[in-house]
Amino acid sequence: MSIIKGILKEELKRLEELSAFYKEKILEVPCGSISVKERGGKRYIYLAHREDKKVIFDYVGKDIPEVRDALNERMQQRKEYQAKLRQVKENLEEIKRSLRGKRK
Amino acid sequence: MEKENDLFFTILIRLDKEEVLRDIILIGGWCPLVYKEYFGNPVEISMQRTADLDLLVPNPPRIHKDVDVSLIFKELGFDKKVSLLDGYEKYVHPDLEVEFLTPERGRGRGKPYTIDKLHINAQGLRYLDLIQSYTIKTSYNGISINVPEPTAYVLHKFMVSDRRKKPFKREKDIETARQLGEYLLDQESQRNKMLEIYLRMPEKWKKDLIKIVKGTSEKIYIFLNSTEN
Repeated sequence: MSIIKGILKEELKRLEELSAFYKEKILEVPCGSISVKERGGKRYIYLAHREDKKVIFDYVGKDIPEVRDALNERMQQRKEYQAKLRQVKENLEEIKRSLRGKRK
Repeated sequence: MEKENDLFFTILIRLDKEEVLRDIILIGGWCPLVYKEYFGNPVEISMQRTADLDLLVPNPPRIHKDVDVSLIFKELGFDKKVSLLDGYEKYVHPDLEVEFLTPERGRGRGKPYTIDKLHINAQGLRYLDLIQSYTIKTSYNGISINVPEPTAYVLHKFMVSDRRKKPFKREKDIETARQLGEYLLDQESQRNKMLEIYLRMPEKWKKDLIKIVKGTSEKIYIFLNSTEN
C-alpha cells in the first residue's frame, strides 16, 4: 500500500469511528423541542417530539429557570453534535472520493 | 488540508495566549510544517501529515501556570473521548484529533499520567526522552513554539518506525525521516547536531538505529557509521 493511500485509509477509519461517537452522543441528549403548558395556574415544561404522525409530549418538570436553562443547554449540545456529524459525513465523502480516484 | 491548517493554527494561538505552549512541545506529524518555515520553505521537506496532532508534556511536567486545557479544547469545538479500556483520552474534532503524550518511565504503567495543572491526562510512550532532551524554540507564523531539534526528530522517527505494527505507518515514518534527515545532512550545523545526539544515545539505541538506517538511507547510514570509526 502506498503511503498516501495508507494515510487516506487511516483517516477513513478515524472518521468512521468519529461518526459512531457523535451518533452515540446525539442519542444521549433528549430530542424534540421545548413546550410549556399551563395547568391549574402553574407552568410545566414538556419535550415535544413526533412519532409517526403523532406529537408526543414528555413531561420534564416545573417551568423554573434552572430546568429550562439546563434543557436549553442540552438541546444546544444536540445541535452542535448534529452539525459535527454532518461535517464528519462530508469529510468521509471527500476521503471516499479520493480513495476511489486512486483506484482508477 | 486548509481546514486542518486553520484549526491547527487556532489551537496554537489559544495555547499560546493561555501560556501553555511555552511548557509543552509539538511533536509528531505536524512538526515538518514548522521545520519548513524554520528552514525557509525548502522543497525537500514534505508537507504530508495526518489528522493526528501530538503534544508532548515533559516528564516530570514543568508547568508554570494552572490552565484548564480540556476546557480550551471544548471551546474550540473538540469533544473529549476517553478509552474505556485504559482511560487514555484524546480530543476529537471532525478535522483533527489531539493527543497528549509524555515519556514513559521505568517499566511502564499501562495507565495515563495525570497532568493536574493542565487538567488533562497524557499517554506514556517510549523513546520520547530523546525528543524531550533536544528541543528548539522557534516561530511558526509569528507564534513561539517548542519543537524537537530537527535531527532528534529524524533519529526518533527512525527508532519508532521499528515499533509500528502497520506497514504503511512504518514506511511513512521512514520516508519522513529519510527525506528530512538527508536534507539536514547538507548543513554543517545540523550534521554536528545529529552527531552530538547520536553519540549520546545508549549503545542499544545506537545499534538499533544503525540497523534501521542501513536499509533505508545510505547517506545517513554512511554518516552515522563513520562516527563509530
